Amino acid sequence: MSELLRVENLSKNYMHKGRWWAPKRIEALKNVSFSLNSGETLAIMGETGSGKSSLARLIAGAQKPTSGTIYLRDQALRPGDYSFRCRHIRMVFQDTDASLNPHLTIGRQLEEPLIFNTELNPAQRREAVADALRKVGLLPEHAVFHSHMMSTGQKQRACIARAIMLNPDIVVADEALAALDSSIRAQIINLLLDLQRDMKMSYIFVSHSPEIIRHMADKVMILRQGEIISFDDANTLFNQQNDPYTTSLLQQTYTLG
Amino acid sequence: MSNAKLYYEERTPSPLEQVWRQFRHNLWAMTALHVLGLIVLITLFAPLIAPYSPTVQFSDSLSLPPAWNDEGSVRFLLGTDELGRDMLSRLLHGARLSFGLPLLVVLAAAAIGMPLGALAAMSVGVKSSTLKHLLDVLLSIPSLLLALIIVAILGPGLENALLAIWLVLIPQFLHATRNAVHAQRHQDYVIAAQLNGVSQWYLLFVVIFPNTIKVLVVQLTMAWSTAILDIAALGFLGLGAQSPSPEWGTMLAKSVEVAYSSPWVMALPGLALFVTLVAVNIVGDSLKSAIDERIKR
Repeated sequence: MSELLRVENLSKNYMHKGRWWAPKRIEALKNVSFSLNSGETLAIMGETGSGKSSLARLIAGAQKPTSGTIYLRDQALRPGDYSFRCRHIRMVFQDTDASLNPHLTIGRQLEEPLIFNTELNPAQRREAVADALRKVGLLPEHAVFHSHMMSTGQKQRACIARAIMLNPDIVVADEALAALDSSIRAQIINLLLDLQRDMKMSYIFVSHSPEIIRHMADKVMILRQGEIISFDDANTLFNQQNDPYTTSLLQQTYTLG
Repeated sequence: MSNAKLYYEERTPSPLEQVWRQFRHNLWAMTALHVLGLIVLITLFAPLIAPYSPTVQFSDSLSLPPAWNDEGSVRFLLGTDELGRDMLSRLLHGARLSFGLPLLVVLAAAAIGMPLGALAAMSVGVKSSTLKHLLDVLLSIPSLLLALIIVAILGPGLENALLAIWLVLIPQFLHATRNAVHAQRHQDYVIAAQLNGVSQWYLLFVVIFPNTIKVLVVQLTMAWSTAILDIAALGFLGLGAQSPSPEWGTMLAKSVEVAYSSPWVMALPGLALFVTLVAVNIVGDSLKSAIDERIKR
């Protein structure tokens, strides 16, 4: 297995406008480094405010890091260079409603990455959109729907379709399962696993649920206050926990995403 | 794939059509729209419809009441004023000054304010805050008062009043556009589009702009009714259009002297202003709720 993603000394600070002469600095991530092989699934866990969402958004490019570099197959990803990044790393957001444009049809939104990153003509683009919709278990007719005509599960499938439009290497899911009810969540998990098998993608997903992580993840990263507490194979981690913080995270039994 | 074309033949209506369908169901909105259409037609074809010139004086028929009154004459449908000018002709010609010119002024202000507002929202740092705060001071003063100050400097006259209202409206458009775009700028769907690798122009015009149209429509109609009211107010105060001109505010001001002897001279321009303002406001408001409904359905 080859190394796909390498993260080196990634830091992210937020400035809070408390008082303008002394803005409060919050360190969301402190010098995080790790690497991921292709085809592997990485789960990021941690308490609220541990920087797990920040890490996911930094990898997907939704935010710019304060310092540090992300390498994809030894090539550094420049923050702000969306056209290179989006062909390799895609993101699924937590809030399905907010992440779909209410004024554009699903088809138009799925077409966007194709228009700007490929040379396909309109007919080929429509075909590619229909293909992606079929892959996630929707009908090609859903391309003419607006997001408010669809159910939550369908919207999440549309978001996943948008993420796989350009055959990416990595899909980042920031608590993408948290807002779904349990039966839809099971469907989406199976869908993600099927897609991973067919398209040989890596997943990086942020989650609270030890059950889902045990089911899906190859590697688990535990974050606390912006630092990696442990980073190990899922099996190893689940079977031998020494640290009380890790134990408390992994032994939660509530089933919220 | 036998069922692949199941619904494909059926055309989904475009967003504009959907808004129109919502709008059409609203009786008030449609009434107001027809009134507005009528006023627009009058504005365009006033010289053709009006029976007389707005300034010609008929010395044989001074202060005639409207035609339905016993003393009225059918030559002057809405009567004449104290100088023997036909009220109907004056009102029809006045629509150009009191309804058409404000529209042009609002469009001119929007043409400057909206691009600047969008620029302020899409950029960050010094450029953004310069644009944002540059005209903030102007916003803190009521528009009519500011227009008064500008007219006081430039001198009275219709052109100066128009210029003043144009200057007053620009910061309002800048702010409304900036806030509307800024509110959408960091939504997930905009970030998602950005992660799709789209260009800045596409992001602004295709992704963000349709979602701000509701705010902009409201801002446009509000500005339009403000402009109508301000031009009439400046005319009434004698700072805008000057006396022989048939501008409705000026007509109101002149009618004060004869309000007791010939009340129609005062009532008619007032009524015209009232109907116009109500029609503009109802159309704007209904358009806003029609756009709202389209998303909710």
